[in-house]
Amino acid sequence: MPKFKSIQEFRDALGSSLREALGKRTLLQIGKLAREIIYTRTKLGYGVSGSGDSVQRQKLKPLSSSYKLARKGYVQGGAMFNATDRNGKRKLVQFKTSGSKPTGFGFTINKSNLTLTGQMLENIVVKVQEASVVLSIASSSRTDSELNNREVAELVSEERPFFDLTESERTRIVNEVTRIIRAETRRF
Amino acid sequence: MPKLRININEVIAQESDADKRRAFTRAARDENVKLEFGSRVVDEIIRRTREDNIDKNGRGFRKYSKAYVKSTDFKIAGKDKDKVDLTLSGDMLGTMQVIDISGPSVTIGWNIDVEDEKAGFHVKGTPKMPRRDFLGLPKGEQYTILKSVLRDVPTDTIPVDEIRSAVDDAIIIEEP
Repeated sequence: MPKFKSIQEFRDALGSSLREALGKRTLLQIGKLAREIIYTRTKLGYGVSGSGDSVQRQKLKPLSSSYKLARKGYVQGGAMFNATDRNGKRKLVQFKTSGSKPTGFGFTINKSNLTLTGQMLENIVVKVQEASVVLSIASSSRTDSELNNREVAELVSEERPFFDLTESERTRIVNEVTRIIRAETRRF
Repeated sequence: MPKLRININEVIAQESDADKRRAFTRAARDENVKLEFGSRVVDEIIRRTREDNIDKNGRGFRKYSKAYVKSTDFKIAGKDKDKVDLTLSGDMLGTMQVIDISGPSVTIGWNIDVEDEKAGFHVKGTPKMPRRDFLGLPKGEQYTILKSVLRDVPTDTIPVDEIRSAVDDAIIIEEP
């Protein structure tokens, strides 16, 4: 964080941008906190509803019985089930597990937490760009699908939106930034 | 809903030296002092809840239930059965803040209903969950914090509203 001699100096920098006030490294820390918040909330089974200032936490829609069966089959090795391809067509997909059963962190057969292999949530990336910190899902390829991680996120978001920050989560971040600044201002 | 209201004059009353008491009382009328005092109380409540795992009276929290310890959520949150820290997502403790500094009092609580409700469950307990009242600090600790604030009296208010607006502008979440 840049060195300021008074809160007024900090306030002037803040008027320009959060990056001016906090510096690139602290802004990146804040971005990583936001990523951790979205990741943990989703793994716990919660998505979001609403938009803008009124985004709220909401339980993710439960998994269908047939998909639970498919997940069970997947764990047991090489299950087949219906998926949607990049053109919106339903098609039969076979997981290439080769008996290794690579499930993601927090996976259980019945829990709706957007986790099977875990690739999508592990691909939330944080980048500082000019005055902002940008969170996105990387367009990285997947081992189990012709869709990339961003495309998978787009698909799952239709019924289970998760990629946003709730009012509580934004307040947490604001409180964290305030805490950092208060610690800094004790040195004024 | 749970709130911690601290009368600063009662905190100052712990000082035995009358001259110091008068000086502290004058200094503590400043809103910046009250806000900083409240913020440091919030920090300390969070620290002792998460790290020391003790309630407002300094007693250890009741253990988590066996069913909760065995749950997937418990594992996902990376929790330890021997460390009762009232943290799952982290939203409840992370959103606790100073909500009022009018008069001689500083009030700590929540502005967000869902977190306020969760805090109430912990503070009062429920039929399924024991009471774990984390919302408070012993008087002696409150006085120590007040003295530390008065040692380096803040000269200006941290612009929380401006920080909120800057955070909202700066964090961009790209829709997948």
